[in-house]
Amino acid sequence: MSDREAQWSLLMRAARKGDGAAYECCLREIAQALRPRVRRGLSRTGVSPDETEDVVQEILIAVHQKRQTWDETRPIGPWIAGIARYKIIDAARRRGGRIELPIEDFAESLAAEAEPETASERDVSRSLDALPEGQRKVVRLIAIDGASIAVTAQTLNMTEGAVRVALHRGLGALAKRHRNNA
Amino acid sequence: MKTDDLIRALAADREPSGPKPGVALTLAGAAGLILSALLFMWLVPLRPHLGEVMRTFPFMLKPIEMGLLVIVSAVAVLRLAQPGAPYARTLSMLAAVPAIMIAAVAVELMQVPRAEWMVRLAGVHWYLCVLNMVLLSLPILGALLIGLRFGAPTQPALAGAGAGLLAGALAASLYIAHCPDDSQLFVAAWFTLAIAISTGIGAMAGPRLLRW
Repeated sequence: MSDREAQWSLLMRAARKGDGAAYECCLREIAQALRPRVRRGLSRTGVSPDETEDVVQEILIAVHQKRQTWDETRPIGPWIAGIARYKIIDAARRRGGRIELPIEDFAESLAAEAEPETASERDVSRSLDALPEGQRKVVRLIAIDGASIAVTAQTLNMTEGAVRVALHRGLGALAKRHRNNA
Repeated sequence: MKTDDLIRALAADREPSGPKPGVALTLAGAAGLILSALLFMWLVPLRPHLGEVMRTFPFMLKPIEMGLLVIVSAVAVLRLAQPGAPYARTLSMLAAVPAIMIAAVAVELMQVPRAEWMVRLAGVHWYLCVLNMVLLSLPILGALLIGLRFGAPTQPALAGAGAGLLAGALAASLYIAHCPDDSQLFVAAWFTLAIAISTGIGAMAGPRLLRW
């Protein structure tokens, strides 16, 4: 297991015990590692590399929604690589690309490189516009304005529980929307 | 939305993420098995003198074969529900079951006169046996597919096939309590056919129902 994988594994364990900062850090690290891989995977399936950031986001949502499927006794790298590969093939299929993707290079060196989000300010298509108003407000405050659950609840005059549910459903709807069209 | 923003939102989402695949699949499998057991009791009677027959060797081979198939396919399904979990070796272990069957059939062919082979193969009612086993596998298969949706199967067709295999093996295990035929010729032909059908149904259902 590489150092980077060992670090993800530690962060994810901490996240499972309720450490939100560790979780955020883990997702950021994973996003950086995914980018070059996703770009390469997409170009191999004949999809424009412009879609990279979009697919990275799809993978991150999947990692989040399926986080219970990581068994702590197994290495985390192949788990993430498995999700990423599935989502890249899925994205390629929906965009009319080829759907074969060799696994080897993907699984092995996922952890070897990193790339920050490109400076291009092109807003990825995963917009919040399609969400129902309540969920959209909550997701926007938390994601873009960086508000906490408590502040969001105060701002929108909701209970914290309702904010949590709206956030959870909003993220679920974002993932679902992407599965259905794109 | 920028990726950094998305990550912030994901990290803020602390709602529980659902049961682990092992828990979901165990509960689903148990629920499906209960449904199938009820269907079994409604569909066919228990085999007469089951208690005595159970201790004879030709009978005992059936639960041994099906039990092995259940265990190995259950491990395979669990692995197929988790991205990155290796499953190739588990799948290769499935070969143990046909190997036992082939050996048992060979022994039977040597012991039984040629004239009786077809009688043994056809059994009391082979078509009912196949039909009933496929029917009994369906509630279990449906439940396992629901269970798999709590996992993250990256190979939906294979995961569906695994669920079909496990459902077929569990259904066959139930059916043993009714099936009056102990010939390995019968088992190797019709149990195999029924389990192959439920595996095929699972393989076809997987890509349709297991996307995430």
